[in-house]
Amino acid sequence: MKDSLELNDVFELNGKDYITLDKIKYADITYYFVNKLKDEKTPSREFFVYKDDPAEGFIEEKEEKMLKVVLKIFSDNMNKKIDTIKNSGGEA
Amino acid sequence: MFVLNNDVVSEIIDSSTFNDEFKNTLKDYSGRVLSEEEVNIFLDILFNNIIEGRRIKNNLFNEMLGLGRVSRLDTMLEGIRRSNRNNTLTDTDLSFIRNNLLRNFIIDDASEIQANNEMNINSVTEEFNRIHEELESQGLSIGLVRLREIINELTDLHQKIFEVQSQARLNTDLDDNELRDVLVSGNDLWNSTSNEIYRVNQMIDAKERLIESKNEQITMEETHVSEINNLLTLDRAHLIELEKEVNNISDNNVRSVLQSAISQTRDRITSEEKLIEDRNDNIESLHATIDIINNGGELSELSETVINEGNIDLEDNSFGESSVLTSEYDEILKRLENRNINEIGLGELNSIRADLIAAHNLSQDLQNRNRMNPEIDINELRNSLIKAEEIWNGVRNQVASIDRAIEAKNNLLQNYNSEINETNERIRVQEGLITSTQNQISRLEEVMKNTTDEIVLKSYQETLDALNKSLQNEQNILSELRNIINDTNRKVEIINNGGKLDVDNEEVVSNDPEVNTNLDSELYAKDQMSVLKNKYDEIVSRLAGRNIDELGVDELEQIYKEFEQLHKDNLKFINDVRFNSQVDTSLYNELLNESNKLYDDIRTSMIEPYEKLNEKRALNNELIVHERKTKSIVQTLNDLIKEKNKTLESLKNSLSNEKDPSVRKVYEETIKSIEKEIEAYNKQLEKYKEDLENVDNKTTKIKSGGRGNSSGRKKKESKPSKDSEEMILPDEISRRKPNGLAPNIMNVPKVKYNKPELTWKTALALAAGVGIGATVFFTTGPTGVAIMSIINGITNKFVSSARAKAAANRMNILGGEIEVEEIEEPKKGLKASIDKFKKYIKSEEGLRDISWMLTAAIITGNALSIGSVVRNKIIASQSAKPIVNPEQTPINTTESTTEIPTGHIEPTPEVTNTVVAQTPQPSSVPTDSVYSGIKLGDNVGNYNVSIGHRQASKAFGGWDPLKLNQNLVNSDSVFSEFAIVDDSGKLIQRISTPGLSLDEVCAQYGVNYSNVVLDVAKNGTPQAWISVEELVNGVTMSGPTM
Repeated sequence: MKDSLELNDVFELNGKDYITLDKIKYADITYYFVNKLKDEKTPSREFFVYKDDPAEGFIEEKEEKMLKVVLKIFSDNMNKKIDTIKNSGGEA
Repeated sequence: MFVLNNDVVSEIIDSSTFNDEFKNTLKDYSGRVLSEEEVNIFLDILFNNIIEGRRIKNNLFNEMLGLGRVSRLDTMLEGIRRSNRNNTLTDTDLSFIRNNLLRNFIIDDASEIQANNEMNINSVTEEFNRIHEELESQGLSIGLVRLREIINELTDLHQKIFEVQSQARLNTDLDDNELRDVLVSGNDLWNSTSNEIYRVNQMIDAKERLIESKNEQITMEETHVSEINNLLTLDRAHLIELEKEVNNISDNNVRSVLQSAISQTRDRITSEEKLIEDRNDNIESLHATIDIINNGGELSELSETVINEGNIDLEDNSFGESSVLTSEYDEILKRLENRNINEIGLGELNSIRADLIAAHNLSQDLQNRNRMNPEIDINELRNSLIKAEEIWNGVRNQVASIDRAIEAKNNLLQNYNSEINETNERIRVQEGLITSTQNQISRLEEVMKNTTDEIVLKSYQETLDALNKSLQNEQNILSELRNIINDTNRKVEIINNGGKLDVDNEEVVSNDPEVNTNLDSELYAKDQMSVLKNKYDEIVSRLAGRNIDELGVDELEQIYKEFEQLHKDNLKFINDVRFNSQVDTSLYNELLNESNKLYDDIRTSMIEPYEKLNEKRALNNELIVHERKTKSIVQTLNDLIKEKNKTLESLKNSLSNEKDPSVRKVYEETIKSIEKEIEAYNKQLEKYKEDLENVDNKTTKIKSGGRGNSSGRKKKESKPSKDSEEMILPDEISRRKPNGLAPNIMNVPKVKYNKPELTWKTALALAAGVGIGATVFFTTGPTGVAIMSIINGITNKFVSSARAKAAANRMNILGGEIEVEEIEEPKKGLKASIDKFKKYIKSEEGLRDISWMLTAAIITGNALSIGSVVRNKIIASQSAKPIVNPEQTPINTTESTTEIPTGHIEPTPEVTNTVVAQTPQPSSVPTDSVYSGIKLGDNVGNYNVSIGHRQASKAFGGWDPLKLNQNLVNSDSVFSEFAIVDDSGKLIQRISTPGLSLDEVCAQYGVNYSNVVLDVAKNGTPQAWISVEELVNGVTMSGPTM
């Protein structure tokens, strides 16, 4: 599984489609921030954190303390990205 | 003539700037030629929409600036902008605007374009009319040469009609009715052209037939001339002989007889010469006729009716009526019914053949017209084409037998004709001989009458007898020769006009080397068929008695390919036979049946290997993927174990140096726990390694064969690594229980593709979702997040940011330090923000990739302060530092990495930089360039800050330069803001992200250095705008010390 998912990959898992929005490596484990897609082009309002664990495989991260850590990173990353979008598009 | 410029029209109709009244006028006016009056009305409306009194309506002006797609409109707007600088427009300005409106909205060459469109269909019609006129007025007097040219012209016309119709279909300026008009008139023209083609072909046929007959006559005349010439030669020789003889004879009687013979011979020569002259005249006149046929002119011999008979009105043949064709063919083929084809005359056979071909051409012509007819349903058309093809296939066999009969007859005819020629030659020689003998006899008889001497008489008598006998023989031979000629002529007659020949056609035909080829090709065809069948049997026999499951991929592929090749060979073979006219119908049918059977057999036999092959290939791919993943896991586990061992060693060292029992206890417990972890990792590693071996065995088996998986295979095995015989089926993988290997395999995300097509909506939703969603997460639970108010969230961000900026700028203005350009605050509310976002996404940068935008955040380099739940007292104590509270640990982001401190027990975390890898790099920008020191937040250093400007747009153009006060602006000043300015001096964007360099700005926004200007600040107060060119003026490559 190592590095098999990239940003913007649309992938299928258990019959559902997801898109990877962000990816970080934390404690040797790769975490993915993903959005569940309604169809292949439309994002839904459901977001998940998946991890690629060498021991357990590609599974959803449900442990709250880990979620707090990685989500904060994801959140900060993404907020900065939003700022960039805002700065780029905010002034016409 | 004027028409509206379509580009501008659609631009305006799409824009919200103009009112409905104006748009409706525009719609009404577009797509047609306008009168001058209409043009003026139009311009007035447009003018009043933009101008009010002597001012430009501001809101309208701004909105119109946003149109800008049409370059000529851009120019105009720029003109208006300049004119509007003083807010009051002069007469010149107004006239300038009006002229520009006229120039931009009206194009007067459109009439030409439209005329061109019309010219296409008209020119084709005109061309057709010209040809039609020529045919009507001159008809049969048109020469064959010209007729052939006309055929080419008509064929070209067909092509042109097709092109005109195709162009019309693509021409978006035509409405449905106009398009229909072009198509319908094109079809009419097509039909008329087809009629003419048919008519001209008939004329060509008639003329060619006439030329053929004239040529035959010429050949006949020439034969006659040649025959007479032979006689003439004989007569002339005879005359010379007689004249020689008459001089030697003194006897008067004999002399007079000889002289009379001479006189007769001379008469004959004269008459023969006259005959030759007449014949030659005939030949000349025939040649003249042929010349007329070829090059045109009146010719009474060509009957109009002959040609008109063939002038079928194609209009009467409605589409798809294959039965019409069938009956057409049937009508012709009736003439062959109950008749031996060998007994039908060559003329009739040729005529039947020509009629069949003509019917076929007609059918093809019909099909071609149908193909061109856009009103015909495609399925209907296809059925009609198939039907016509089927009918023709049946008829084709008949044509093939007619061809064979014609060929045989022609061969016979050729033999007979040469026989006739030879016999005629012999007859002529014989006749010459007889004449000569008769002359000798008569001369001798004359001489004998005047001879009294008995001895001489007796001698004469003996000679006379011999001559008479010889004459008799010669006459007999002549009579025989004439019989032969008659007989042969009768045969020729039968061949040409029909009837039974004494000689069997087949017998004669079989002497022809062509016919031997015929037999050969039949034998060859049968032989080929059995080769194909043997090959099939051979492949099947290789599979006999073997379990197909046990065949490897390679062998299956080989077998499949062989079947495939055999199938292709079979098709090719029967196709060759189908078009080989030397294979007769019955053999063809026989071979066709065999070929069809073989086709079925091959198809049936192919299915199983094909399915099995696909199955095994899929399985193989699955295993390869699985192997790759397992190897990757093994690698990771190895790394992990290594890492843990290092930590273990370090802990053991620490333990040996530690004396505090409580700390030692912590160390010992940690060591124990790590050892346990290592043990667990090792166990997992073993499993994966076994699994790898297992996968390898299976891959080999799939490739080379052996006992494989079958549907009835046992499924209860829980440890795949132990089952070396087992193959993992793709569907079984997902059924496995989540133990051992299972979780990894079960939860393998299958990547479909990367970078989905992102619409602005998708991008907005994603950006909003990820930006806010993660925050919302904590309140909605860990398994899924319902993101509410996505749009509002992002809108607020936009609006609040813009407000903040505006406020900052107002502060600057109040400070009175420098004039700052107004920033237009975005309209409040959802729509404005979405519009802005849309505009951005549509921009060049936005289109590159959404991930590009997201990447930029990392580049900006804002320090992160994040929370962490990681605890590591051991390391804290070991490093003799106070225990770090990770919650408060600032995390530095750099351009490429983000470090997140965690404990030593946990491996060092890092942010994966796939994002950064996708960042477009300013490849054309050298990193150590003279520009590389220009970075927001950095000191000015050695850059040139001697002059500056009040506004960014002025800095861009170098306008109104001001000498800067060195107390306020110097090397200690700071670069505080970038502004991107377009080539017209318009401010596009201001960027104040700390740490952002000029190189990065240029790379991110795809602009040149010359389009970027910088604000220089002192003590946080903006002082002046300076262009990049001015900054680097005099600065060398070694650059300032930053």
